[in-house]
Amino acid sequence: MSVKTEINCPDCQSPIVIESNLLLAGQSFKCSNPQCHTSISLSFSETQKVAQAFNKFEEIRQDAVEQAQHVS
Amino acid sequence: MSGLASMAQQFSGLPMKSLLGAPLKAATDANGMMARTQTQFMLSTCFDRKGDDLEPIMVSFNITRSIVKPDGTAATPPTATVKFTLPLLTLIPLNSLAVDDVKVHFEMEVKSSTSKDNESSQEQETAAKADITAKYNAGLFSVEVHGSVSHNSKSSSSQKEHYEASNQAKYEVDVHAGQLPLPTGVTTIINAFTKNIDPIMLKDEAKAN
Repeated sequence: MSVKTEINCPDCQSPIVIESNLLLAGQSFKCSNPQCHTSISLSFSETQKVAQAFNKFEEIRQDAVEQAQHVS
Repeated sequence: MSGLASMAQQFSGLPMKSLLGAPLKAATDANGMMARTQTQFMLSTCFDRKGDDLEPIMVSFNITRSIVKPDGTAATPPTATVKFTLPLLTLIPLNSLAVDDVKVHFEMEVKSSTSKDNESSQEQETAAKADITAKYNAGLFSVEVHGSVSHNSKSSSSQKEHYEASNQAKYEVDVHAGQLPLPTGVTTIINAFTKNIDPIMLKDEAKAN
């Protein structure tokens, strides 16, 4: 499952919406400010490190869903 | 009235405390467990332990910016790409998983109905008939009397009783795990790390002097 997150544009501080799957696939993300033509992408060398973090986060997210089901 | 009283008694006997409290307590326990798990995840995945200190794990990004001439036209090359680092912590939507909605639906229907149909049915039929003829002779006169008597009677009765009672109870608990806003402390840490990507502006020494 893809995780959506936001970081601020280093240039104009407008939000840049990042989707984990696309980020790991090497896609670049444009700043939401139409006047700012900045785009960011993950360095290829960091892909594995970030993928592991997202995978672990997905695991604890699944645990959270199971906990919620257990409550009901 | 006695029927209503017994119905109220059926409601007062319900363990409302456990019916409502148990799911809420379970949700709170689940939230506490999730928070602990996420904190452990944050510390183990997003930080490197260096002795007693924790250092954030940084991730390199490429940033591409447009280069524009003073007249507004694109420069050659039109873009410049530089590297910058960002804490891994800022990429993960941390501590936002929790049970955010617990709904307890409780429906109870106590239906009690009594109907008593009294139908008396007793059938009895009697019939009697008598013919009377009497003649009396007195000299030249003669009297003759004819009579008839009849009697007919019919009555019926029957008894029927009907009683109906039903109890119905429905108990539903809906729990939804969703995203909550980050706590202020975590937001402050993330903001502090995010500012790392801004360049440090040095003062112009010539102007300062």
